[in-house]
Amino acid sequence: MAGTLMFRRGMMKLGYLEEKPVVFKLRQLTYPVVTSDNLIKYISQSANVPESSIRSCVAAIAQAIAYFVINGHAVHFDGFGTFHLKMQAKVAKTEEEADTKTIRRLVPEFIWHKELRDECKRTRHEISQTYSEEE
Amino acid sequence: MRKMYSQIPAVTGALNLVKVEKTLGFLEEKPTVYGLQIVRGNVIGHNEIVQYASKACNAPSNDVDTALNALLDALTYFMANGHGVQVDGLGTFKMVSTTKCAKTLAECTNETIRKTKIRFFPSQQMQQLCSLKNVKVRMITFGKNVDLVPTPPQP
Repeated sequence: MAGTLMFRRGMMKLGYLEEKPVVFKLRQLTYPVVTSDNLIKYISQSANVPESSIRSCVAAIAQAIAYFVINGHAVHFDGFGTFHLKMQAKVAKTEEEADTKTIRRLVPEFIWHKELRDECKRTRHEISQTYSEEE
Repeated sequence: MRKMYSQIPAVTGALNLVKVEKTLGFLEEKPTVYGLQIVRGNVIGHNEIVQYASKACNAPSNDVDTALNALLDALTYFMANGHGVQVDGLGTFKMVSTTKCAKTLAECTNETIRKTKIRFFPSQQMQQLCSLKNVKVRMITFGKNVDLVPTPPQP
């Protein structure tokens, strides 16, 4: 992977403390989000496959992941991570009260794999000279 | 002829739930409460996704395999360089870092970076697929129902 994350130094005033001390903190520089169209263009160039094929394949892959996740399976990609479904529900005091009405919502979750975590640690961190003040 | 995304039919889900008994150990009275838990299915790997997707978009499995590998590589590459990556129908992946405060500007170095992690924000489409309107839930009791793990249909 060997990427580079850029940071800038920022000054903050901690207004919630009586002394209102000034502290310095690194902030990650945010870049524009790579949209799906740009991602597909990049993949088609790197894999030498026509864009239309990649577009339909990526859509089908996303649908396959969604399908398996909403059917209670976990979708695991080696070296990347696992998608699974998490349920948020209220707890009930008695066994009878614990039914499907207590379900608040279902949330898809992604847990990144240990290999990706290790790769991530190898990412270089650079601090730019830009400086900002915030409160 | 390969299908475009709009032509791929929408999917619906079905979840099996079981009642579980829990003791809230952090409270003094340690009360017993009841909750619901999803019955987990199989762990689906790379090959199953390739097979499903190749049937869904009528593409050779080699092409889908190449596309999936290239997609994962591209996601990793862009995230490692600080970009968020949006995948239609799935969500946005971002690499975020948490840092500590320093008292002086000179102390504000790479060492103040606590950790870097990847965050996943599901897309609206994914959220709709995971909504309770789209997913059928049913309560099961162990020993009574046999088909605990839903079988994948043919796309």
